[in-house]
Amino acid sequence: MSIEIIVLIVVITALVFDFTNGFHDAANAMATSVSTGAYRPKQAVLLAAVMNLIGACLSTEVAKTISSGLVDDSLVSPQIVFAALVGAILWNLFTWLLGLPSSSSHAIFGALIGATLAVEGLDAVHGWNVVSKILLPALVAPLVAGIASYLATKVAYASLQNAPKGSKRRFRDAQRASSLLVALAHGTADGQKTMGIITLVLVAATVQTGSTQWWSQAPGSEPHWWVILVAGLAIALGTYSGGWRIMRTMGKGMADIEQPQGFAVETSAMAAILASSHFGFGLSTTHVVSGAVIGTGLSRTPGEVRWRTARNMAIGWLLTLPAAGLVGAGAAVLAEMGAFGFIAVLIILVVAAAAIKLLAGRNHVSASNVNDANEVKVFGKADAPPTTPPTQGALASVLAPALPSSTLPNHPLAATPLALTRLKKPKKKLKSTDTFPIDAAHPDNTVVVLETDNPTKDPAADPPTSLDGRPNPATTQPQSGAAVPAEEDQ
Amino acid sequence: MTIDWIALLQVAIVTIVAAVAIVGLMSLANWLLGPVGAESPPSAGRRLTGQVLIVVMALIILGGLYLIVHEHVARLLGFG
Repeated sequence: MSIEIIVLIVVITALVFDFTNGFHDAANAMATSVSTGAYRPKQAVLLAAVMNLIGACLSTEVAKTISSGLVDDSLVSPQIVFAALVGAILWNLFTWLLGLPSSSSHAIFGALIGATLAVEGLDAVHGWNVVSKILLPALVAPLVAGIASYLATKVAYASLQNAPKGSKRRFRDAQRASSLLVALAHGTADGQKTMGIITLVLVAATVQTGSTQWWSQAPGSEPHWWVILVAGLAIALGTYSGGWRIMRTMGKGMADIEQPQGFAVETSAMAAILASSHFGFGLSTTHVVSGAVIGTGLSRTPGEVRWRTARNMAIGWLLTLPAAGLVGAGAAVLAEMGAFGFIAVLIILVVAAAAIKLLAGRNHVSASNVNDANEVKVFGKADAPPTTPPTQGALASVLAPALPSSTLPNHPLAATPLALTRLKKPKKKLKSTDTFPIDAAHPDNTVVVLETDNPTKDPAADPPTSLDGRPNPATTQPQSGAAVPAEEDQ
Repeated sequence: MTIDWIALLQVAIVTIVAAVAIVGLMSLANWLLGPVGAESPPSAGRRLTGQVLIVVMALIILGGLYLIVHEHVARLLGFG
């Protein structure tokens, strides 16, 4: 197989990685804005795509040092880069399928380390740089962003004490602006990675062949203009395609967020990304935003943070480097076997990607249902408190299993104190008139659903209830004990 | 090889201070621009101060952005 064909395949694969990077990380900038209703979902990804494109074209500093000193660049061949891309793409697709926000940067670095290790041996990998440039920032990023977001949220809500209705509206506008800037910063940081990868391949191929083709590139030179353009377009297209699964986890899965909190999250993330870029640390935007979301959740409603989701995400982060590295290593060994091995890796990539896409189709997440939470709060009223947890009878068939209900206050309209809340996503949409037996010992004791936060919100409207459980006067009826019409079901 | 702990600490401090400062400015501006008491609108002085704070906040953010792109921008403008 000629070097030109290999270079062409690697460049296309790099653009595919860039695309997956875009849709995987679209959530970083826009998840909170979509969940708080600052932007409509489609509007959010379009704006994020434009800002990513602009960001990718703003700077090429990172592109010149893509491996960041993690591996010996002089030993990296186009086959190794190809294998690394395959590892990173597959890990990105796998975590997307699970809806896990993991770092695309760590995926490509892990896969590059694995591929280089498998082909060139241990000496080609600079282990200390892996610790100082990947592992340490991965620990520090969410922590710092979380603290910043925690404090910023406290400040924001201190100013809102006793504030009249509508006071949060300006935070919505501010959040719109801050999320655009996070998208810009993301484009600046991540758009360059693909430029760097393509540049690395072009340099490697030039050195290998001594070629002076139009695509040839001398070591240490700036990326070609067409590389900047296609890399920027690929990440922008990826961002526009949405990555709704991850957006749902980031915006709804970890904590319930209001507009002032969204602004605190975006501002903390932006500050962390800009500061780290300036001081030469490559923080993952995914880690930064995830940490900030947990920080704001802890600051406002500590009991509302979904630690199970956070734990799954942390496990994903820990696994990213070794898992992508393992796939990268396997792909590199195959790709180095010659044309047959190279094509085999390509086929494996296409088949695996198609299989993941097929699996994802079973539980489709799109712009229309991105704000549906995995758990819903159900406020109900009952004639008497249940003597057993509401996990049996007809209710169980719809809502089971119920989670501990002590984390949220009772709904003020419930006739009897009943915190029927934080239930796993129902198998069917609940309506405000639904009635269920809740007590196995006393089948006559039923609960009437008053309202849920499950429906996708109108982005222009305030949430149906505030997070402390108080009903929003604009969306609820004040009659005591009466069933409240649910928000628009979708 | 050593880890640049000082730089890491600087990142942490700058992040926390900047985030709190920006959100603080926005919160203060929001408070100043909001109605006073029950329904009465803010005075001209409050409104102006609130708007100035929003401009200051925007300038801080733009300054941060400039830090990471200034070399490229300088090259584009022919100063690099």
